[in-house]
Amino acid sequence: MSLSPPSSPPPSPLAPGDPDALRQWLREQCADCLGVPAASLATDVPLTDYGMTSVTGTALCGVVEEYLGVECDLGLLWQEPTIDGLTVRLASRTVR
Amino acid sequence: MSSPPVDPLAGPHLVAAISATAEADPERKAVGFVRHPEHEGEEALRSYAWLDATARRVAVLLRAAGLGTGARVLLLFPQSAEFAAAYAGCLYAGMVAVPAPLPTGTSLEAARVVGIAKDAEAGAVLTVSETEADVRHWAARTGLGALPLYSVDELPGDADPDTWREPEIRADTVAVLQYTSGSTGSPKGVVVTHGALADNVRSLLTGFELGAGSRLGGWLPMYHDMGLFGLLSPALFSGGAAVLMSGSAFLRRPALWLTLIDRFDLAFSAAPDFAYDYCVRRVKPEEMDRLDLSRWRWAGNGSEPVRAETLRAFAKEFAPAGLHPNATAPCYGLAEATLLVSLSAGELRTRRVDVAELENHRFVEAAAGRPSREVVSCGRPTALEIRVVDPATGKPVTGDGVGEIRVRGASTARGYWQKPEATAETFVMDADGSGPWLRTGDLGALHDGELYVTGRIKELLIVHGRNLYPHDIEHELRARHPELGTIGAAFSLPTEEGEAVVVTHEVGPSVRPERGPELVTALRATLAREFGLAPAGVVLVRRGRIPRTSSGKVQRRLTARLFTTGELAQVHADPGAHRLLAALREADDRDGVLPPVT
Repeated sequence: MSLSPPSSPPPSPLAPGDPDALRQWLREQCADCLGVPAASLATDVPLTDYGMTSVTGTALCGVVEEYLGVECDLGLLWQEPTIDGLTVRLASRTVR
Repeated sequence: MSSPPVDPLAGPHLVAAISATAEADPERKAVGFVRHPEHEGEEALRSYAWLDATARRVAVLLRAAGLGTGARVLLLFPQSAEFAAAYAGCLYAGMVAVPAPLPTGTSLEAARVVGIAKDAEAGAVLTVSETEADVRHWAARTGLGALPLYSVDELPGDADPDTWREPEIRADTVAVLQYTSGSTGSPKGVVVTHGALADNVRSLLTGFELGAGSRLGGWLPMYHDMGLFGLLSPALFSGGAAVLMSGSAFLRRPALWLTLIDRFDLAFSAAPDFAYDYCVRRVKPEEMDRLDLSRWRWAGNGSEPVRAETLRAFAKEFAPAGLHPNATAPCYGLAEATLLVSLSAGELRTRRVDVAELENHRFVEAAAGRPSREVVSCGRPTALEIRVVDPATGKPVTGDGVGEIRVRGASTARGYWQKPEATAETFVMDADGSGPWLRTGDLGALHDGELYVTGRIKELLIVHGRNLYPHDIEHELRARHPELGTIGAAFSLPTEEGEAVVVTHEVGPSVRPERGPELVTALRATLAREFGLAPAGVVLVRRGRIPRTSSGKVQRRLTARLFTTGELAQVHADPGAHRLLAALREADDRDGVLPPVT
């Protein structure tokens, strides 16, 4: 799926090849989508335990695609339900 | 813009309205699907000439395929202009449009669409080339492979639009079967006639003072009653344009919805309450800076409970973008009334009522310091008559009484398709012999002639504007998690932050309490994936703990009561359930009442 590019591309929030930074960034984005503090999210617990649904999940996919420039859909979120799992999968997608 | 070609309110039905506009002003814009609202303009919209010619070809093709007057045609589309042509084509053919979601999502959705196809006894399927392979695959897999199937954007060349003849359409000719009701196992198609459709669409256009050539649009899907009868149909009836985008694009970047409204000059858009809250939380300041919402006259809010806080927050947040303070318009409606029952256009009106009185079915202003709930006015009825009755006796309530909302008038549906029993239960004669009245299953009060919706009698759960049936949820959980017992109960409780859904289920005797967290995690994953549901709490109980009637029917309301009073014996309650109970208890300690279980 193609996305309309943001009119002023934000600076990439991440140093390439730094999984810890990616994990922390994802944790903040998940917290933002779920409306909870980032500190309340354990990275090895399924996000659906914190109330992630297709609605909040689609919001997360939108942020990931916009800022990381990699494809992300609900299928991936259901396959990799934790922040740790998502970090590994998205890190492999950002490697070019 | 050229002058409006037709009087939108004079036409007898949608076919006459579309063909009249196409004849008078063929190049006028009718409908469009916009992928990138920031980068597209008028070229994204198709004309009435295109809509009329494509609808004619669809009609000719359906006739040539051997389908007769009144045949049901299943419409399985992504959000697209082609949907509008297929919808119009069914009506041009004198046939019945049956819109349904694309059966390419979850297995539950695919099963639900099979149920719809079978219940409606669909004689053909329409889609577009983009999804044709998926739809064919689904049809073959589910025993529907023999149905004729066409892609509206690739119609065979021999379907000559000039051979089309307008069918006889009367007020009682069936136009649409709307399947928003009924569980997956027992879908119920609301029978919408051309007369009801025209009447309801007119009431929306006049109620919001939308004249000829109005532009409406948004991201609601067209198989949803608010999309079909709240956006597309009124736009086409008025000789105006429907400008559509996808729901997924909205969820990814909610600012795109507002951009669509701005760039395409939409006078009206509508969405469930959650969408407005979502915009407040997720539209970024730099996105807002680019928006001019001053020409957006109405932001209809309906299809799930309307919250005063949402309306205020949305109006405040987007005032700097030019949004008129009174643009937000709470609405009440349901598919059984075609769509719209009442609307509130103008200043937000709410009443803060006493919670304990509400539990006793009385709608009374709360005294200072008393526990209260703010209820939003959904305004006056449009063309329909509303009555509030005691659900037990069917007699109208008096004074400040709360009761079941009943509705009658020209746009109430004829009933459910081939379901005489369900029809007789829902469309009833009242105690005074008047009727038929539509039993909405919603609770409310009339105050100064305005409708306030306070809760539900029906056990339906409403999540993001979608209707979920507790039975479907409980059944799916059992099917996927063999550790569960035979009975579960999903219900919702009113809280200060809106409705909280709680899912309870019995577990088998071998499930020990320490396994609870793991099982709840698995159940939550199923609920999120299959139903888009994140319940406030999940509670596992031992066999026999969920109350049933003597005939074995789950007593969900009683289960809810036991949960709120802490009497539901638990094997395991997850942290969300504990938080909810603590909040309820705090309200109880503070105010001396538990919220009503409605």
